Amino acid sequence: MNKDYIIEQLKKQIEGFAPSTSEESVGTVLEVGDGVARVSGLSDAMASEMVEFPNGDLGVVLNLEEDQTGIMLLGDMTKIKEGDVVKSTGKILSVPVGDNMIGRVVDALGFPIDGKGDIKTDVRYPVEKIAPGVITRKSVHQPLQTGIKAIDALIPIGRGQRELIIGDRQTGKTAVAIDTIINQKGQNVKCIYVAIGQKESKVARIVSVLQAAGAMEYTTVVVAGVSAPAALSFIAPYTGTAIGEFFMDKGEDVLVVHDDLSKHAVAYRQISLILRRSPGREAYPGDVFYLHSRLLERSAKLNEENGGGSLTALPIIETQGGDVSAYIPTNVISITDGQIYLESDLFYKGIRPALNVGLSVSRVGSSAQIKAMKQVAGTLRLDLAQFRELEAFAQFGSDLDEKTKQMIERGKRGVELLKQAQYAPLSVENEVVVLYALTRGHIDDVAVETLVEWEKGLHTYLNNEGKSVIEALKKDKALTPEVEELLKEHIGKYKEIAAIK
Amino acid sequence: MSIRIKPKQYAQLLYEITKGKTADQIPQILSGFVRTLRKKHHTKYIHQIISFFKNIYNSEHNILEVHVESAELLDEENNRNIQSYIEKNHPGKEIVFTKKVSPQLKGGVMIRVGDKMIDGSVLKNVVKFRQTMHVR
Repeated sequence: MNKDYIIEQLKKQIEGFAPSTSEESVGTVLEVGDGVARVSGLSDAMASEMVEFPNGDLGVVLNLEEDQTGIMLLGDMTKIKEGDVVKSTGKILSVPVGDNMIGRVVDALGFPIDGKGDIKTDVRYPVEKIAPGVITRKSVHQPLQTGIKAIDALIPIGRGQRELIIGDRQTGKTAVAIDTIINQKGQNVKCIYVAIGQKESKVARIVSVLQAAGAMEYTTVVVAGVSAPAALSFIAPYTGTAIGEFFMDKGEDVLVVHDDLSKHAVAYRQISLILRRSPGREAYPGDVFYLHSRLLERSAKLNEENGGGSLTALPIIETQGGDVSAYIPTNVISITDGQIYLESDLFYKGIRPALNVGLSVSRVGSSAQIKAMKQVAGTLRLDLAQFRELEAFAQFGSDLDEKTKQMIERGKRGVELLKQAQYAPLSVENEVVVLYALTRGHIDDVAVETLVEWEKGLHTYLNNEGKSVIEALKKDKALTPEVEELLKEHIGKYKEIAAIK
Repeated sequence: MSIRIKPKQYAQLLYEITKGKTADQIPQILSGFVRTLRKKHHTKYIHQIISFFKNIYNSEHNILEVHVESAELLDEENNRNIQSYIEKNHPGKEIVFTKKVSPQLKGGVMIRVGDKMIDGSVLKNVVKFRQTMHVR
């Protein structure tokens, strides 16, 4: 093929460009303000259809009224004026999806904002999609390891589950989500982090953390920053879910983090109030429950006939002063399959992750734990609950009977051992060994103050001399008597080494 | 408590009270209408009322307003063509043309009937061509 031929063909194509005219449905802008335009005409418009303004910017039809439509603007509203002609496109709002989205930072419409050039993809998915039905689903049964001991042991998350992360500001909600993303390395899980109303500086920091951990190789970041119009904040989580659904439909596992849905609800409230929909409780519109339920219902574990993919959602909600009974938190708690409740009191006490074990639950998780984890963590929740009850008596010291004293000591070690540094997720096998040492009393003679160091040493030991245990756990995924014997032996050996140090 | 009257209802009212009236009766009727608007602080809706009134009047009198925009003043033949095209598509309507010359169209015509538009301007085709070249 020579180049002249190609050029000749190109010229021919351009000459043959036949301008076609067809009848279009149009409307006229009546008023514009605060990200919303009211347009008369557009009699054929559908709900959530894209419309085009003269400058090429897009809008989405949200309100269909008797003689006008309310349109949410997705671009620069300062260039739109009264009397402008609005054309309907006949298409529902969609975003580009595909393998090339991985490793990229995109805005709520799927356009790259990381300066790495265009994203080449042919597939587009609608932003709003009806969730998979009962027939296509399967119950959640595979674990999604967060790499955080406390969560994997007490509040396990399964692939296809929706687990809410809830807590006040500065309690480490994002940290839990980011750790989970980092821990998916090599687990064949595609991750999508949706930042809604976040400071751009925070997003930049998160992206650099993910990059440093090598997590951007399987992660897409969708950003609708604080300076973005409310419309983009509103559609960002749907965009993130759409990008995830592409992989789920291919039979892959996906994790979507929505950080955070309180700001999403606020953005939606703004749009709704400007569209003059009636305000309800806390001035949120009546459909704010549906706003989140239709989003989170799209997380699913599909059955084998439908590819067996899954989409796990970790929505984040920020509470004010620990009030979980506010409107949006109660809504999202009731939609999700459990919640991870982080408390500022615990955070300031130095218990990080600041997990409130009593209030955190996972409604489907325990069927999605590996057997070994179930074996070692079975009594942990109860132990910790008893410890909390007895903790008040701990100050009386010597007046307590032996059994109570032992329980308090075990509890103290449990609390200490469930602490974990940020960006340091553990493999599930290492978690099992640590929890085994705790629940079977192997660390009752280790001083609480030295426990952090002791645990660190244990992991180093396990990843070197004790490799056989880890390998055996990886293979069997259960504590068989042989594995347990091996484990006991190695813990004993390590304790000897640690004692010399 | 007063019931809120919508611009469309005002327009309907305006049509009803002016129907079949002679030209010298109109000013008196309108002054009463405007007084009501002012009393209710609804003068701000006047643009919407006018636009609804136009629609009501046109549909009652079987009038079709056609807006034609072109880069240059159209010649007789083109005018005839457009008129016959509209008449063919909207039979039995009395057609009222409003014409406008907008040089920014570069060439061709843009015809708008209600909320339907046929855009045959050079400007639109240039934009469309640019989009075609950009995507592939």
